[in-house]
Amino acid sequence: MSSSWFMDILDVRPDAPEEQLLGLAGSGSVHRPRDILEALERRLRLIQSSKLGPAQVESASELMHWAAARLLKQYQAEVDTASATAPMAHAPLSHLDREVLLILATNGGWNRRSRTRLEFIAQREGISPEGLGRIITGLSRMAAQGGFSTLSEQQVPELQAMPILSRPRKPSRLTQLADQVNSKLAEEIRAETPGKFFRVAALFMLLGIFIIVIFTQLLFDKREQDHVPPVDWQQEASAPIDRGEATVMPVIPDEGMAPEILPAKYARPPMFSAEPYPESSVQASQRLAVVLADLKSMARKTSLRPERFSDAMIENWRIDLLDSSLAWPLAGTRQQDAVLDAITAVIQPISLEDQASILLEPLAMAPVQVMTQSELLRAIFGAGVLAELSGNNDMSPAVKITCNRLLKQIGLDPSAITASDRFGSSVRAWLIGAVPELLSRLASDDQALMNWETWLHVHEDVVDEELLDLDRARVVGALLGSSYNLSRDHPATDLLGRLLNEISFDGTSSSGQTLRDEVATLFDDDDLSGGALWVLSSLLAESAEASWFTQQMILPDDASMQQRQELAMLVQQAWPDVVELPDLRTGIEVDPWMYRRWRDALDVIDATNPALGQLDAKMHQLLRLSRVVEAARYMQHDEDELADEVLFELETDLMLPVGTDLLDRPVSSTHQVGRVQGTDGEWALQFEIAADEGDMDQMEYLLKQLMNFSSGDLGPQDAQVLVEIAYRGREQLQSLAQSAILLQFQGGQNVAMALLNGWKSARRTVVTGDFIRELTGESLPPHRDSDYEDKARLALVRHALSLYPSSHHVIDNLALQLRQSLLNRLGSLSDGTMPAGAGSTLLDAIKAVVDRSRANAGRLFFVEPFPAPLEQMDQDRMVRSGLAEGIVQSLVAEQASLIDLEAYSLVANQPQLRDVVMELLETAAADRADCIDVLEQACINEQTIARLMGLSFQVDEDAGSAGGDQS
Amino acid sequence: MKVSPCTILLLVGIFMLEQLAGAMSDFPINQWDQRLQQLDPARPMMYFELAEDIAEQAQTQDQRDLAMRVFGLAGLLGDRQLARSAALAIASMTDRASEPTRYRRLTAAAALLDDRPGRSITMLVQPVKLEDAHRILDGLAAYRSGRATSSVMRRITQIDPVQLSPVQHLFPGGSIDRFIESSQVYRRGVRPSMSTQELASELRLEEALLAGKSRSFSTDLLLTRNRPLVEVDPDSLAELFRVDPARSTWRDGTWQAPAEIGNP
Repeated sequence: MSSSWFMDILDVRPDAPEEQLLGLAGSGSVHRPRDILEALERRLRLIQSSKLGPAQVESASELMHWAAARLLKQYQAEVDTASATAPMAHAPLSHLDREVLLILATNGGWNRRSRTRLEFIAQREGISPEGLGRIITGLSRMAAQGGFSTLSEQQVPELQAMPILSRPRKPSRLTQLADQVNSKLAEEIRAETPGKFFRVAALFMLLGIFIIVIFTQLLFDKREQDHVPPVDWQQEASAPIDRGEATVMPVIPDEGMAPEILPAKYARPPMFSAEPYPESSVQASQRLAVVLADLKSMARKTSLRPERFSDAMIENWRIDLLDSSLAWPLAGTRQQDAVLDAITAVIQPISLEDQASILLEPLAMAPVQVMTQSELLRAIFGAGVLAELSGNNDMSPAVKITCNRLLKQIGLDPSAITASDRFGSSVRAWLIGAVPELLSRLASDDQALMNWETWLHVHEDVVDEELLDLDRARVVGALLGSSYNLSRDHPATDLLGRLLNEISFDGTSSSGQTLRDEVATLFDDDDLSGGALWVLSSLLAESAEASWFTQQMILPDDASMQQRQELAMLVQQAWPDVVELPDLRTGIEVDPWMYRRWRDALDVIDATNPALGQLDAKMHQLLRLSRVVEAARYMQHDEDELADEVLFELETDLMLPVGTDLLDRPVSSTHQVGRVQGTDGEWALQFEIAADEGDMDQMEYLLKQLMNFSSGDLGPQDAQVLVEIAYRGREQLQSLAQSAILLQFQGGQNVAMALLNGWKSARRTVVTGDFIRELTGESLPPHRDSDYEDKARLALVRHALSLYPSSHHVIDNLALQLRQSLLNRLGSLSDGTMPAGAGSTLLDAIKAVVDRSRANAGRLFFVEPFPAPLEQMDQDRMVRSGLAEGIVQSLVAEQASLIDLEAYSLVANQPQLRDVVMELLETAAADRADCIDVLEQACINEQTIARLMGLSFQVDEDAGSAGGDQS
Repeated sequence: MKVSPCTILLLVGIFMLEQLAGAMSDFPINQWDQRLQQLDPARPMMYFELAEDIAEQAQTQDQRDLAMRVFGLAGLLGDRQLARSAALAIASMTDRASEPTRYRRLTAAAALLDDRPGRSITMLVQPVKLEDAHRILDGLAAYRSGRATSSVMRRITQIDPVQLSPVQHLFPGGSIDRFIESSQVYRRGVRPSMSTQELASELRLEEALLAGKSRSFSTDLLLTRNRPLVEVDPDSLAELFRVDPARSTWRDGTWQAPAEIGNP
């Protein structure tokens, strides 16, 4: 790179150290990521605003990015080293040592007060009295030796890491004070004056002897130990508690018996709220269409020249990735899919690792590189895309290797990413991995809580419902294990309050019993201090969500392990039973506008009443009602986007007359129906003459002649002769006849009927089997199988049927759509997971829906089951299915069971609706009994299901709606 | 006004006929009163046997109603097998034309009460036995090809008509008999001239015979003739039989609860 223009603009040589390139002060020192990124941004702005040409801008920008990346890596390496060797490399004493020293120094040596404090620290850190004794002895020995460098890590018991989240340990205020004392002590020790040195040495020798004597007493005096009053957060946060009066009985829930422990008090309830996404996300989402077009154009370029990218293209790519990551959380599912597809299309042609690295490296951002909400979104998106690409089998090995390398670089294990949802699984792993870093920023970074807002929103959007509360509970654990004083107003306390507010403690959480176990384990976790659990139990006791967690369950900050274990068990017992729907008394809140559209659609369908005998119209009405139910199901599950999609299609459909076929494909057939030309029998006669004369050439000629027929069908006689040759002719002639049928007469009604009529005389050979398969498009068993003949014959029947257009085709097409609608409903009921074999037929689909509803109902708590106990409903279902005479009647029977289950769930959650539901059920049963038409019965059933679901809705009338069905 | 002796004789004749008719209407009570009073709820078979006798001799709707009531009591007081027999007996006495749904509910209940293996009511997975289906399919192919020989058609007529009842209505001409009759013409290459609708209908019949439960929705509707599902609860037979089982004892011309007897 020529340096003159570079120096003109930036006043630094291109080969200068990275700090100088970015204009950072202090060569050789470690810079904070935020400073590095701000410097990079300044430099890039400077370069962009210069009068350099595009190639020079590109080149200079590239160098700046490189320099920034180098510095960030240095920072990361520094942080890693620091965390691995902190006690030895940077401080002669560990935080714990400093705290012990501080307590001893500030309390005037070993006395009741210092002993209490040391006791608390030992408890907090999970250190036994012996361990603490060793530390104190070590400290006094070091003091006697004149220094602290001989204190090794082995003398300090290892602090256990959280199973999932490592806890960031920021120095507490106590530790900071200890640092100050320590530095003063160090000064004394380092002082040249012999007098000063001896003073300090003598002090520590005295302290050491004193401590050993007292500590020995302490070890043997367990009774006294049990009554040691702790000094901790509780004391700091509120008025001191008289330990003599407050005998600890924390886990007795009976309010009349258990004395209350004073809860943690705050100036305001711990909570925070912020904009989840930066303003730039909104702007980027407005540019998303342009980004998509740009990515598509880029995909064309990489497919044409995968080995070479222009600088401009790379810059565009980076901008597009940035915009995509910012717009991602605001985009709909389809847009998100489109962005992913477009990115995949750009990367797919790449086959060299170097090229892959250039394009993919901007996606890899470790948590430590993240400072702002935008960067957080960029990092999250990058993790998702890398995982998606690494699992895409269409990608070249070079791309996959690069993706896996980059994933490891940002701390993710590619093999641990779930195959079914690589994007979501990777984003979750990144979010979890970022927790320690994001927690550590709470003390100093103003942006920290905003990042947490983004974290919570993205987490909720991406992570499976079952894992949401579980992850939140684990973050709570990490927070409790941190060194923050959560008994005071602090961003960390606000985060704790917010997390506890997000978690469903009322038994409705999809995490179910796993969440219960996770929360209970917190109280049982000897890594967590008594003070932290006192705060947690105080906040839970205040929580309306956790109404079962009473004031009597607040743990004292000096609770023994046994008390904690008792509380853990009590949490297990008191945790409410899991119920399916979120509220036991009120309906499901739905968007008023969405509800109005849904209600309107149902009203319009109700008002349509096709005449008896109009089977296709009735079938269409049934499909429409099923789609209404589908939309309601989405609304119930807060899947408004899908509900909106279904309602839009329904509204479009309702503008069409009932009975209109909704499929784009032709109603009659997949083949063009042929027409007969010429005189029937002429060709057959010529062929028979040639056959009588044994004239193979003529026979072949006549068959080849048929290949030129453009009419698409033959007369019945000609068709019969052709089919006889196709089924039983000599090898060469048979092949020609079959080819003629496949090429020219696939849409011929007469040929199709001849094929069916002549089937009994066909030779059972591989050739014939392949011919039927190709003609009908149906998969058949091998020709020697016992059911081959019937299956092949059925395939021929269906082929012929497809050539005779009738209203039955409309019914069958509508039935296909009905099956799909049922599968969609099943998907919503099953949270997207589809039971095996659920979709093979319409009947399988409705049965799967009923099975799933039954399973869901089984999880509901019901004192007085309505309309009947589930076992009775199972029996009724069996009886009904026994009475059904065919597929459609079986559908009606299953629907009737679905009505019962829907009513069961509804009344379980909203008992006040029992009478209304009962009336609906009775009306439906009576109407069904009066029907003389099975499709009419199916419509009545579907209508009833829709009405029951409508009853479950709660519409906010203040929002201007007409009100829900129950309001 | 002059009244002729003939007129007087005519009026007397009419009066006597009316008296006779009145006597006939009292038939159930008069004729069966003694046996009705002997009925014991602990012996439900007595009810069934009496109901059979009444049904055999019944000539009026009242008499049939009495028989059905006694059948109903037999079914409610007896075991499942007796209940099944009662349901079938009441179904046989029900007017299918005016009460088709009741008839179907009774036969469905009978099927549900049948604990023997291979009971008759199941979903119409295979409306006709496969062996019989092949005979029909061969016959239909021969008919359309103008090769409806008597031997082919005879194979169809050998099938038990009861077996064919679920698909009768789908045959060309609307019944198996009409199909066989018309097939006599279509031999030696003479093909029937069939409309598109007729051909499509025949193909639906073939699909119904071959496809089992994988048949199309529209074919199923054709096969079952769009009939509604009949719901019946075999544990609530009283409503189906239209009988109050508590009032199972005949005294003083009315059905009473056993406990009421002697405590008017």
